[in-house]
Amino acid sequence: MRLLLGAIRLFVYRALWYWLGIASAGRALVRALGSPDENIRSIAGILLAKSGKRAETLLQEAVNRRENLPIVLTVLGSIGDPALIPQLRRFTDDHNPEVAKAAQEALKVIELSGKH
Amino acid sequence: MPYKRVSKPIPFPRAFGATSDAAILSQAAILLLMEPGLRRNRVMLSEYQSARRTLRVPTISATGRRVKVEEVESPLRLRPLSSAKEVIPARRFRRLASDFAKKRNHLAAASLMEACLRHPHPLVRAAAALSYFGLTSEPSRLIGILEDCTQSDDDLVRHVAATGLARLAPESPRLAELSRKTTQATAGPSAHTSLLVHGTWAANEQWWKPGGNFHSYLLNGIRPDLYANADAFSWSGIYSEAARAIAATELQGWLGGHTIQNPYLLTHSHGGSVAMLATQNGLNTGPLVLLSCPVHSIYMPDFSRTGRVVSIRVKLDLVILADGGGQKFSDPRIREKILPIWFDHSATHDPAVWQRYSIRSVIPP
Repeated sequence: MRLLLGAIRLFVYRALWYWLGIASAGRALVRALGSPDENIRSIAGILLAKSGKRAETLLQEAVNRRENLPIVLTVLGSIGDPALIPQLRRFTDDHNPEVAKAAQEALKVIELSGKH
Repeated sequence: MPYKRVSKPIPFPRAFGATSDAAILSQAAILLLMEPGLRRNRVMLSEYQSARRTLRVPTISATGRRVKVEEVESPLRLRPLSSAKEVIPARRFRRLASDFAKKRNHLAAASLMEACLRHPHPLVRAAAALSYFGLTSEPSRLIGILEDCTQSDDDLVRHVAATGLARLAPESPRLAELSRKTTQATAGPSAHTSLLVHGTWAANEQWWKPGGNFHSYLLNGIRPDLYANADAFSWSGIYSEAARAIAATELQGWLGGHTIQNPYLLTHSHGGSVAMLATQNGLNTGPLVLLSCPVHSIYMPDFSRTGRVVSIRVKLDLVILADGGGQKFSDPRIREKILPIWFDHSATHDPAVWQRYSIRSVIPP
């Protein structure tokens, strides 16, 4: 039941942010990427990725704070905006190998999908 | 697996009075579950509370006291471990366990453990060596037993012993030998035939990596041929069709590079989509197990290139709901197993769920 309530909360956050422009609800969605529950992390990631470019500002804030960086970079890679390439490139040599790997993978996917 | 499956473990002290597979496995489990108590490891004690209760694992107060070897060897008339190998008959363990059940003190625990170091079954010897480390006054004697057990033909014995060595004597040359052996094994063709493919967002998760809980669970009994080296296949875990298409190509390349043909694929979430795409691109696989895989019409296997396909899922998976995928495969060639669990996308890679619902019997051999 806790999982169900947690998931419903994410759908509500997403609606409040996406449709009503309430930024704090969007930030709560980004924070959920760091949840200890794999289900909650996955749902938050999918909802942000599906929001496309509109999620970039929120994710950019998280990047600046280095908050949940590997998964935030993976969400940015999922959005697939080529404008993010310089931003992602900054992290490809990050001291944290998980961050560097996530940035490299995101970069690879954006670059390769642009060629197709 | 060389052991019969145990549906009902035998509790302490009764387990020490029998020699069946269930008794041997129960003895090893009881000895291993005594160890967190001796180390005052509260996290482990709470995590294994239910198992400890089921097996009625005896507890003794953790005083940090070590029992001198001579205090137990002499009364039990045991030969030192350094002398010729001594094997104790099974009936003596029953008596020692009963004594320990009556007098729950350090000496009784040490007597049982010291005797178990001479048990006829190597699994019990390895478990005793691991647990006894914090109780005996001469723990260095136990390293030899663990090293010896790493030579066993029995996978479970080897794994218990190697895990113990890695924890208690990481400098042991035997560990280096074991890891060299594993590395060399990858050089031959099809040395490993099973592969675990993670899903979206999971590239940095531990459960699917060698040493991770689900990987270890599969390796130690379900799929002993599971690829277990550090360079296990991984993909970006990015949530996009492009990322899955790239991952499918990478999967083919990785298998080709490792000369693995017709792998048995166990996949979670969109890892299943990656595998199905790879078959569309020409990859031949053995059986394909889809765990919590979202259903999208563009991701279907090329059935002419796969073995049996089985989908295992929970009811109303919330992550699949967010993904927008379907929950049920309609193609009759994909066998469905729906677990009596609601919402939880990660349940299908939880070893406890596999055990509880005997998922092993659902997947192709």
